[in-house]
Amino acid sequence: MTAGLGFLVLALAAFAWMGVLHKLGDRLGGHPARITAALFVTSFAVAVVRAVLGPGLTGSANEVSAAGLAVPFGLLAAAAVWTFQAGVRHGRIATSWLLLNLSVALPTGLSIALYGEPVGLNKGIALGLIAASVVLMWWDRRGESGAGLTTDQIRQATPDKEA
Amino acid sequence: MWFRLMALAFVFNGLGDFGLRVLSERGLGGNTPHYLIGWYAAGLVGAVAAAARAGGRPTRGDVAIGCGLGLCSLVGQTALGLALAGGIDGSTAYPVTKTGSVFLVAAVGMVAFRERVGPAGLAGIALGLAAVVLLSLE
Repeated sequence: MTAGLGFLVLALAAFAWMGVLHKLGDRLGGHPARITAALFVTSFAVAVVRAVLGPGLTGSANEVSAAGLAVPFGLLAAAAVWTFQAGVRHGRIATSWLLLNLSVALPTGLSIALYGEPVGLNKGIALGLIAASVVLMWWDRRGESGAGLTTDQIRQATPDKEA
Repeated sequence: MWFRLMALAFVFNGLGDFGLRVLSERGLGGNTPHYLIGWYAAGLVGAVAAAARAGGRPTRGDVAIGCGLGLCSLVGQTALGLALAGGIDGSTAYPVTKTGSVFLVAAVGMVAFRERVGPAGLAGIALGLAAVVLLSLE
């Protein structure tokens, strides 16, 4: 159990670092498309190594079907990282990171709509809460109720330091 | 601009994740490693094409942040799997990692990046965290 807790803390730290790295990339003047490309180069290399060391690559019909099925979804994932990295510049990482995590509502909703998965009480309430949460975050940005420092605002205040 | 880009990221990310459900529905769940190769390869091609179209050369910062994101994703997924294998219940592991990361990132944003979130935003975060916990418990 102790080892399990240690791995849980490690997982938590790694996922949190992803949000921080996105914001850090923006503050360092990183380019969204190039950051996305570097991310997918790394992940692709690791995915190939894991497949070779794990089940192996035989080129069977199932393997080809699975890889082919993934193509549109992989493109969408890259577009997600790209737009997220570009959007972080204009807003706060706290609400941006939450919004990205809330996107789990989409596959949940599609699973219900397309595959007839049952909608439990928890799931129904959660989907309602997500809708309300998104509206509130939109309202927060629209009303500028949180006068924080976005990267846009920092750059406008210090144009000589613009990356 | 922020909401428009985040709305796109929300939709793209959600749809990008849905592929695994389609894979499972087609009885190819055992081929997840091969699916991931196709998934990352397609993303790689798309991202490299976008980067090439944008022009310019990648900086060391671009590479460091991108590689860091990829490695963090790998470490996070692997550690989560090991935590589950090490006796932590899924009903604990998923909410802790999901809500914990949102909390930590919000804290870092406010402290390190001096971001302030207004009352409506804070209420949105609270509702969002509750939703993540409920979905993780499904």
